[in-house]
Amino acid sequence: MTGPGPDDAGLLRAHVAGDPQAFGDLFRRHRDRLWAVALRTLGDPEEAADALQDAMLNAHRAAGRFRGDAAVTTWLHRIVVNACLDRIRRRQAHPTVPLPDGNRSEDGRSGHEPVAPAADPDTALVVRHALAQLPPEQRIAIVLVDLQGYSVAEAAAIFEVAEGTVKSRCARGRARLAVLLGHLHTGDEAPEPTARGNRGSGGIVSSGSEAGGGQ
Amino acid sequence: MSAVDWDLLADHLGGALAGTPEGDRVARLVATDPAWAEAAAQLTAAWDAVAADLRTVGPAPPLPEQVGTRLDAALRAETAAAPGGRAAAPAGPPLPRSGDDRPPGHPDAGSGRPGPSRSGPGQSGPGRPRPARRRRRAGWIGALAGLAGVAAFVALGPVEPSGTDGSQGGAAAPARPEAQLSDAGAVPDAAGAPAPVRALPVMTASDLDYQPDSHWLGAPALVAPPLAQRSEGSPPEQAFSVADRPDPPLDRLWDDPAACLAAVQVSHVPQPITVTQMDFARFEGEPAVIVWLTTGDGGGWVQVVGPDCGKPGAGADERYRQALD
Repeated sequence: MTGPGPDDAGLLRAHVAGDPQAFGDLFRRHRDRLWAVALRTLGDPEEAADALQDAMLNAHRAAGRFRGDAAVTTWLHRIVVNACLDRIRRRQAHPTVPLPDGNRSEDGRSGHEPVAPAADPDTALVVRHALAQLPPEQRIAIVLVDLQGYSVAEAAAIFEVAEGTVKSRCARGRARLAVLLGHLHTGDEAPEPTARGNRGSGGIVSSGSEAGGGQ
Repeated sequence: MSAVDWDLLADHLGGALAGTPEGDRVARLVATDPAWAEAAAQLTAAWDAVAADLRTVGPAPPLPEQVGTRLDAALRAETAAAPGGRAAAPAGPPLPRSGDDRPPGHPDAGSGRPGPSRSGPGQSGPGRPRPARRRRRAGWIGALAGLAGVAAFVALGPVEPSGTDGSQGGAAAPARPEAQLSDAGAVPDAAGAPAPVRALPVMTASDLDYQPDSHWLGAPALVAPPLAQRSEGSPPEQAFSVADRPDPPLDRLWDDPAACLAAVQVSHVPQPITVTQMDFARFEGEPAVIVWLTTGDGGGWVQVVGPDCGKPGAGADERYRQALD
């Protein structure tokens, strides 16, 4: 047999029909991308591995209910996103940053966590830490669209929401990141020398900023 | 001049309000109100900076090999238990919901609020049956096969008042559950005699930390496979080890669960119960036994009891219960 082989939907059908290899083949096709989503969303590799396994087993069992109303990869991403959201909500460990207009986050606190130790020059680490401060839906929207390069339409299909909702989550998430990373000062956040001093007033974080100075 | 609503401004600049009256209103503000115009310029510049920052994050590292191995093992175990995704349990539940099911177009204010079924203990959705045999780590079936589940299976013996079965194993099998029921201050049903606990449970000591909204409450996380299957192709090394027996304070119940089971039965009077599995683990961080049972009327329950379950005066020391199916 030299054909291209079964497509995703074909593998899923085969799995539901009882083929013991099909689901594994399907999942292996996509698991690197799914892993990336889980890792960027949860931050911690152990958590990401747990979430990915939960999602995989969920998908394995739920395959019979897949209606074909979305692409199989969309469906798989949806399950992974839900597994990640489950974990985040179960933890609910991090106080969230106040919205830029001064409204409080849902836990009623206005704590403004320092983004990173002052001496840490690793922008990527700082940015990932800031990402972890976002509310879950905003975080995942930014992971999907800005980090993983999915279109707004694809993200909307994964979340099962309107595209406008995805745009809003991305826009507000980026605004929160801007505050956390010191690019935006709305006048409402608490004075935070770590977040603001390292980044300069409204300056762009780059290798030329004072944050990259000696440790 | 009106105060800048940064969320609204972000929505507008991000295209989420296109074609809506709200979008028109914000556009007018940006065009006519200096504060809004300035804010829009700042936000746009800030987004450029954030975009540059996000680019530094770079692609995620690839799936680590050990994670891949673990996933493969978990899938093998799952396939053995439920080929084609069809487990022994009744038809599965909806997928875990993320709380994303808001009305379309509703901009998320970033509340991150869980969906209604996860709003707290005891409210995890009475009508949400879960798939059977959720497992947190790979390879636990293999561990169980040689360990606790089977050993306890043999040792317990049926919990029948008259001992009709005859296979009373060790101290674990109670001779007179009625006596224990009355010791525990049981309230008999209208007929006067509390129904006995029937059948014997699989006992596991997973030490998993169950939460009120945990998937694993829907069905036991660990299930000892039928004896016939255990001999062939056991999964390889486990990422977790399953204990032979739980640590104190749950070891008392492990060694003699009869009084506790009787107390659990009392809590379901007048329905006779069949306890199918007991997982000696944790609930919300505290040592607890998770008990899965069915009632005579066909209902299913998962019930969480504490270490004092079955002690005189303590009743079942119940911490939580949830109807299944």
